[in-house]
Amino acid sequence: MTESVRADGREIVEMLRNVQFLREVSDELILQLAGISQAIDFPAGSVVFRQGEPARTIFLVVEGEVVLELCAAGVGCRRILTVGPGDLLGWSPVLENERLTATARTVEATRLIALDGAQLRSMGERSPRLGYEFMKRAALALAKRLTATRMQLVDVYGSQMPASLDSAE
Amino acid sequence: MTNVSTNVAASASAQMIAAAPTVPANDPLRPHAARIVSIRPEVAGIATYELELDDPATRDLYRFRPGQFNMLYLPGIGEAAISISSDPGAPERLLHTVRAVGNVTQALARQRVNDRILLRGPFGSAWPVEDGLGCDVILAAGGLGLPPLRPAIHELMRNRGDFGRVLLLYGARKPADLLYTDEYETWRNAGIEIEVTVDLGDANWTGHIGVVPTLFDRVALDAGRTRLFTCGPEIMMRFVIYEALDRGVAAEHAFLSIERNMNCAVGFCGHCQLGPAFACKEGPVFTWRRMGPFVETEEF
Amino acid sequence: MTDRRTTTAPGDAVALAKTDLQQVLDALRQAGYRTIGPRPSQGAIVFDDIERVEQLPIGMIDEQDGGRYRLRESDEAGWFDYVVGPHSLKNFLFPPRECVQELVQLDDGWECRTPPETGPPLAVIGVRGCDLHALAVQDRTFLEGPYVDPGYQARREKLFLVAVNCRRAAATCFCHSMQTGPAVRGGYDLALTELEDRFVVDIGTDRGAAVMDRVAWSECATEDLAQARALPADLERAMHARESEHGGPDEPRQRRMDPTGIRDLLLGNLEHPRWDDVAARCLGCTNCTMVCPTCFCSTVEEVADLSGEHVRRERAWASCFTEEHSYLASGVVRPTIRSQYRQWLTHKLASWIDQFGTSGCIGCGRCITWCPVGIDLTEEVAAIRGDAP
Repeated sequence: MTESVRADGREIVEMLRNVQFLREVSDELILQLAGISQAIDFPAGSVVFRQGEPARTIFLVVEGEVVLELCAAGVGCRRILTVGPGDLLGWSPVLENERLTATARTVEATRLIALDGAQLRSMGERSPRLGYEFMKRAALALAKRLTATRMQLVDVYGSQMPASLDSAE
Repeated sequence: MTNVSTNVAASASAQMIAAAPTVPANDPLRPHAARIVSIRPEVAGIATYELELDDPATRDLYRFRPGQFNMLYLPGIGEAAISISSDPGAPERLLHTVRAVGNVTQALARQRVNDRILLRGPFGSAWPVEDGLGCDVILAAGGLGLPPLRPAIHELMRNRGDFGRVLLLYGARKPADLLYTDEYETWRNAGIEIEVTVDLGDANWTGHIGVVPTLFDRVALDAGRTRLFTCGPEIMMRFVIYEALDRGVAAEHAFLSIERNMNCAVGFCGHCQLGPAFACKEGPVFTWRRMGPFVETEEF
Repeated sequence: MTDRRTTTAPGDAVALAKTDLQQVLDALRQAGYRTIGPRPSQGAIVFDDIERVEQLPIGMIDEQDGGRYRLRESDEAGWFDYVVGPHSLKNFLFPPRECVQELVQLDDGWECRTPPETGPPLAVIGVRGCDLHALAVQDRTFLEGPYVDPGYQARREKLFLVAVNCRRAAATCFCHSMQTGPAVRGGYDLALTELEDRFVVDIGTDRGAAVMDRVAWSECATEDLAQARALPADLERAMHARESEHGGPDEPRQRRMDPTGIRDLLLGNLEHPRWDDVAARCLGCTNCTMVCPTCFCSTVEEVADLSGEHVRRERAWASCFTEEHSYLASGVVRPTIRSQYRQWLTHKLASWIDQFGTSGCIGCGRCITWCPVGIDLTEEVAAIRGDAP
């Protein structure tokens, strides 16, 4: 069972300040984000969101570890990535994607900050500065994730032998 | 900016091993006989060979530094450059973790315990462990990049008090490909933080999933006092270094081990060149400051 | 009239009648040297065994240009008025194929033996200034690093050099740019400058003096000495002058190369479009690396007999214009001609400086002549530099 953390505004602000994703965001913007945030604790093994569900909430990981899975009938769920403290989780609402593209399941007891997607988007429209800062960081996080995914795709390990330097044979 | 490490170095108790190649300077192709003492299968297609030099005098003389390699020779078949993966403090026992992928290494895979092979070495430059005195040291390894770093782990453990944090970031394609898993506890107990990841998790894997560079998000660096040693596929090493540079680690403090075709290992055959350097002489361990631009040039 | 000296010493210059050069050959052979000199063979001047001065290509001249080498007779030509051919000292000191190790399998393991150098000492007649520099460059590779090549060292120590000052340059020569000629400056036992009917012989070493003392030399007249000194100097001036002239198909432009800042120029332009341009022309035939007197890449190969109990390790010339050169289990680092040519040129002119403290190029122009499509490295460098050719 998840439970909302009884955290007062100050504690939420503190959590947001310490999240790597929001590093170097001004206090003023942090306060604005705090207004639409809540902290939620998840026990190990619980589902944060499911692939295919409507995308409503953006998460930032405060503590713990979450695994992303791609699920398909017959095949089951394949784990493709783990994210940890400081990472963005569930980026779809940022970009107004309708559906979540993966299932997120906690590996250990995890605390997340949940931000309402619709509210974040309208805040961004009203306050372009905040919108830009959030988008910029989301874009950066996704770019890194894309690079990492590409490396997983090409199988950098392949038949490479960094240790065993076979001479021409 | 004061260099913290030099102050510490002045009073360091660290005993770093010096290398003593057994190859005479004027006869650099002369090999020495060695016996295969043990063969330990690691993961699919990879085994660790323990070698002992036959001649006691040579055995006494032989010293290597972490990151160096031997040329293992099977007469009639050829030589292969293999990193030494054992403890430099115990050079009478030489370990080489080898994947059977070419003529020589496949022939090596057909050898049995007590068979003999020939050996020349050690060659190459070393991980500058002493450069990390008083600093935090990050070892970032991928796949078969861990064996060449293992000797550095031994040196760091032996002199643990002379270093700050020591972190091993290690990744492989899948959990079954992880090397030396039975040693992680020993390393942790010696004060080495270990983060392991795989590209593809399986049903039993509860650890990180993602490529090695993503592990940098897990660790808080003190960039000014961090030294990075990385070894693995070239793409992985580059992105590991980019992560480190993004976090403020200096390019001259990021070291990588570069693989190139080795034929003679003594700077004569010319095969191992990467721009201005010979990987067998100035390398395989290089700083990113020096070699980065050449590593990033395609097909250079 | 002063008494004729009976002995010579390094630094001396004496005169020798042309036909008496035979006495030098004889003295060397009597001292046990194998004498090598320029000989015409299959349309080119190569280095080969020589016993009689009549075997020299007297009266022959070579015409060289990109991808072109022709020999012809000329009434105006002397004994040494051709320049360099496809051979250099490299062919003898660093042979194309050499057994570097022999192994025999015995009951208790392999016995390994480095074959000792057993050939007679070599005396090479007709070495040009550029090739003496090439020798010094190869010495840095094989003798002056942390390891020494034992075969090269053994042959090098015994090498006797009779150098020749060039009176003529081929169009492909650019020693004047690389400061390696045409004048011979040091590094020889004897150096010859050819005059009408005699040589002015400069004594370079005690060994050279010892050989000369068994030969009927005479005192060198002042005018002769002045003429001998002027010849290479005049040639150098002429070479500079011919850089811009284009006298027609028989007198192609003299090549030149500006070595200023060349290391940074090339290593800073690794993606220059010129590399694509030259890659479209280069065949990857490896001729340039074979004729280049400083190229040193090699591969050691296993040669075993049927029983597998006798193994020879043979070192053979290799070339960076092959996929084998940069082969890794994970793939070839330089699989394209573009990357291979870039490797060769940046190594020769730029990386070499980092590695050995000197350029790898001595301006002999062999790579230009012997390239089947006439690729001219001086032109490639000029293009990258942005100069008009």
